Amino acid sequence: MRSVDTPHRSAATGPPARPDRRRFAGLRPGPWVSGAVLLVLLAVWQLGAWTGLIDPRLLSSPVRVVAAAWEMLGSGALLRDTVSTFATLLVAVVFAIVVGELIGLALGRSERLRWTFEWQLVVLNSMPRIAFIPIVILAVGVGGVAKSVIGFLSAVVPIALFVMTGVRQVSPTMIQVAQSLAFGRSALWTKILVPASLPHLALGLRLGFSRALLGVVVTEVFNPVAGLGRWIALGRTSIDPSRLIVAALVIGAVGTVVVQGISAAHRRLGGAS
Amino acid sequence: MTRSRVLRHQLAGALVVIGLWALLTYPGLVNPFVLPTPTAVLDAVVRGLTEGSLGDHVLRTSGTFVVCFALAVLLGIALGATPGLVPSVHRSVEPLISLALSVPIVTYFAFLVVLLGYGFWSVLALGVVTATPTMITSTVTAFQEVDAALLRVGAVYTASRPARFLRIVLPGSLATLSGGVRIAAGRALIGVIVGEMFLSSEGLGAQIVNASGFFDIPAYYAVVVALAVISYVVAVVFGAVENRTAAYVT
Repeated sequence: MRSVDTPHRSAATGPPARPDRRRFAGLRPGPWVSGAVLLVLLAVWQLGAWTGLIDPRLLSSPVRVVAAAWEMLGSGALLRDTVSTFATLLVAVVFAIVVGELIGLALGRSERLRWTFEWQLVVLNSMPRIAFIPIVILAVGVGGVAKSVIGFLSAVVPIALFVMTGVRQVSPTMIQVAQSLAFGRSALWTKILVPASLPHLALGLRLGFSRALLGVVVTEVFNPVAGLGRWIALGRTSIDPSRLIVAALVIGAVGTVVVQGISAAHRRLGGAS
Repeated sequence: MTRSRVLRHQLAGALVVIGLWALLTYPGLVNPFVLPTPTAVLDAVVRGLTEGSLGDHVLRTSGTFVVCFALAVLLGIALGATPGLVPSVHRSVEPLISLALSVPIVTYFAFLVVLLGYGFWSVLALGVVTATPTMITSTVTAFQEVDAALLRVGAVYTASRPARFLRIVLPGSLATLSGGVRIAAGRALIGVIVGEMFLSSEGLGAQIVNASGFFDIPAYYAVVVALAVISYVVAVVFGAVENRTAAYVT
C-alpha cells in the first residue's frame, strides 16, 4: 500500500453511512485485510505453540508445518503423491467430460429420453458419491482404477445435467433457421448444438471437478495406498497433524488453481457469471 | 395428458434400471459380491427396517443432517450479511471466503478428532464446516443484489436496522438465498456422511463402512438405498422451495 497519508485505524469495520470518517483513513480496506488476518492467525498459532498454550504435538504449528513440507519435498514423497492424486483425477475428469457431454446432448435433444432417464441422474446427483467407495474397491480392487472410477462417477452426473440444460436452451428459431439453410444432421450438431453446450459443459465441469477431487481424496483416505489422501489417513491416526496440513494445503492450492482455470475457460466460451 | 406421458416414461426408466439389474444378477453374470440381486437387496432393506437398526441409523443421520443444515444456514447468513451489505468489508474478506471454500473437507478430520473426539460432535462440526462456506458466498451474492434504491427508501422513512433487514434485505434476496440453501443442504449431507464414515460408529455413513467391512453386501446396498431416498427427498424439497421463492419474487 503506497499511501502518502499517515495510516490511521483501518476503516474496514466503519459503518458505510458515514463517509466523512473514511476520507481521513489513510489505509483503505481491501484484500490486504484478509492477508493481515491470516498473518495474525498464523502468529497467534505459532506464539501459542511456543508458549505452550497450544500443544504443538496435537495441533502442530506453522514452523512445524513448514518443516514437514520441506521434509516431504526432500524425500520426493510430496511430488509423487501430488502427481498420483491429480493424474487419477485427470483420467477421471477426461472420461467424465466425454461421457457427460454425450449423455447431456442425447437427453437435451430428445424429450422422451429426458423423461425416461433424467430422474435417475437427479437421484445420483443428490447422493454423496463417496458412499460407493467400498463397493468400487470391492469391484476393481485398490489402487488408481478405484480412485478414477469414484472421480468419474462424481464428475459425470453434474456435467451431463448442465450440458442437458444447455442444449435445451438452444432456441428453436436457431434450429429452424439452420434447417431452412439446409444444414445436414451432422452440421446441426457440430455447428450449433455442441458449441451451444460448451459453456454449460464448463459450468458442470467446475462443479464436477470439485466433487471428483473430494471423491478421489476420500478414496485415498479410505484406502491409503498412494496420493495426498494417504497423509490425511496417517494424520488421522498419528499424533502430529503437520503432514496432514501440508497435504491439505497442496490439495486446496492445486484445486483452487484448476477451478479458477475452468472459470476462465467458461468466460472465454461466452458463458455468463 | 403430457403429465401422464412423462409419468409413463419415468416408470419405463425405472423398469429399464431394475430390468438391467435383474438381467445381470439372476443369471450370475455379475459377481454377487459386487452387485446382489434386487430381491436380496429388498430383503436386506426389509430385514434392516424390521429386525435390524437401519431405521435408527436413518433417523440419526437425518437428525444430524437437519441440525447441521440449520446451523450452517444461520451461520452463513450471519457471517455473509456484513460483507454482502458493505462493499468495503466484502473487498477485505473476499480472499478469506474463497480460501474457506477451497479447503477440502477431509482437512478437518485430525483437528476435529483432537478437539471433539470421535463421535457425534465431530460429525456435527464436519457437516457445519462443509456447508457453511457456500452459504456465506450465496448470502453475500444475494445481499449484494438487493435493490439499493429500496434500502435508501427504507432509510428515508427511518425504518430501523432490523426492520430494514427483515422487510427489505431478506425478501429481496430470497430467490438467490434459496438457491444457496439448496446447495448447502447437499453439502451438509455429504459432510455428515463423510463424518460418519470416518469419525463415528453411528449413522448411515458408519453403516456403509461396517457392512462392506463384514462383506455383508446386501446390507451395504440397503444402506445405499436408504441414503438415496434421503438425498432424493432433500433434493426435491429444496428444489421445490427454490422454485416457490423464485415464483414469489418475480
